[in-house]
Amino acid sequence: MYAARYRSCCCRRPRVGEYVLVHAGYAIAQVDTQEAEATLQLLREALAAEEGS
Amino acid sequence: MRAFHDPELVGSLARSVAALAEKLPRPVTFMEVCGTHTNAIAASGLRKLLPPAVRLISGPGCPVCVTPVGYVDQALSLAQDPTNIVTTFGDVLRVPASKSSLERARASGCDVRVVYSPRDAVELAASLPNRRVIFLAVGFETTAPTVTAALREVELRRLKNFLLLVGHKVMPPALEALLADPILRLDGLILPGHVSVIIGTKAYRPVLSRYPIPAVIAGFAPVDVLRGLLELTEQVVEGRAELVNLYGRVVREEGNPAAWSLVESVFTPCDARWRGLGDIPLSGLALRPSLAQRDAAHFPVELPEPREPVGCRCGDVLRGLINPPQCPLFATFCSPETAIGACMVSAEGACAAWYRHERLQGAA
Repeated sequence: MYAARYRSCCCRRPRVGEYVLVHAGYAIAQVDTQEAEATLQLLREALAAEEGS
Repeated sequence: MRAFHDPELVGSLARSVAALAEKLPRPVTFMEVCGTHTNAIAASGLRKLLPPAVRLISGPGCPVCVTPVGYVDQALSLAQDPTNIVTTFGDVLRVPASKSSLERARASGCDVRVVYSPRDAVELAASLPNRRVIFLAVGFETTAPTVTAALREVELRRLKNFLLLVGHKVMPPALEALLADPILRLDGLILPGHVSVIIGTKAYRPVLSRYPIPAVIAGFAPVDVLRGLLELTEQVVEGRAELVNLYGRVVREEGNPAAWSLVESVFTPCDARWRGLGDIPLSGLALRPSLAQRDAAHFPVELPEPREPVGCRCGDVLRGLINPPQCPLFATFCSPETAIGACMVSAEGACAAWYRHERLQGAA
């Protein structure tokens, strides 16, 4: 009933398929999945190099 | 996102930290300042993976724990008025006040209700127009935008019976107090992840330029925490003191400016008292004068002289001076079931996390 008035996001309104960080019932940030993947990739490479040496 | 819990990656990172720690000139103490970190570190057993030269302690990162007893006394007094419904996040319920607790007040007939979101309190106010709904607004920069959104909504819906008892706190001034503490000598900081989502990397730069120290913004999965510790250890070994954001998937340099400007539209900085740290200038948020009618602190109530529980060392735990087991009450008189201090009450508290996860692991 009040859906139109609600402010459920404290960030850009997400699209279906995107991830958001939710705190106390409100979305407070978009998750940058590309950045997450890049981080993991970098870690795996760095650690593989270290353990291989 | 499960990859951030990958055991192989965790093991490999832990070995890297251990290898690097051998190059440390001295044993080091790193502090995390976020209740979610406290809990995540305890739950994952990460401390056991760390080399002896790397000590990881908790600071004042649990919002309920740092809320001073005087605030709880005030909430308790407001709950005595039968017109009022006091609404709160669950963990405030059992925090000891000077004489009682909200939980005991509820048992004796006061209307105290647990909500999961400020929005639930808004709905309650809408459904009970003849009652006054007071929401206990406790929390750091992460929570303030959600309370602000709720406040904006009651303004829009003209719900005059919704008020706040504001106990919000902001992190950078508290970090400054910790770094200026001559007793507490920290070698590095793991900065609070979700606070940083809102205020951004930039918010720490002024403090860290006055008190240079290795600092990382890290997420909460084991991979995130270990990566943070690896970075901090590396900085100490190399004699650097830099601020590094390792939680780029949600934390940006400028934070979430939309959320923070929302907060600034209703709140203004004020001096605030922290359990353990005392009074810190401009470390709290107060409602702007234009919203005075939403401020439950304006009701005249009789307050007892604030009194912390006898023997409780929550203050020292929050300053990182002792680990929970060093408090004489820990696991003797004080446990999650019979909590005496705030750090044992809140699920985010260092004592509760230690009790639940690390007490039997032999870590000290």
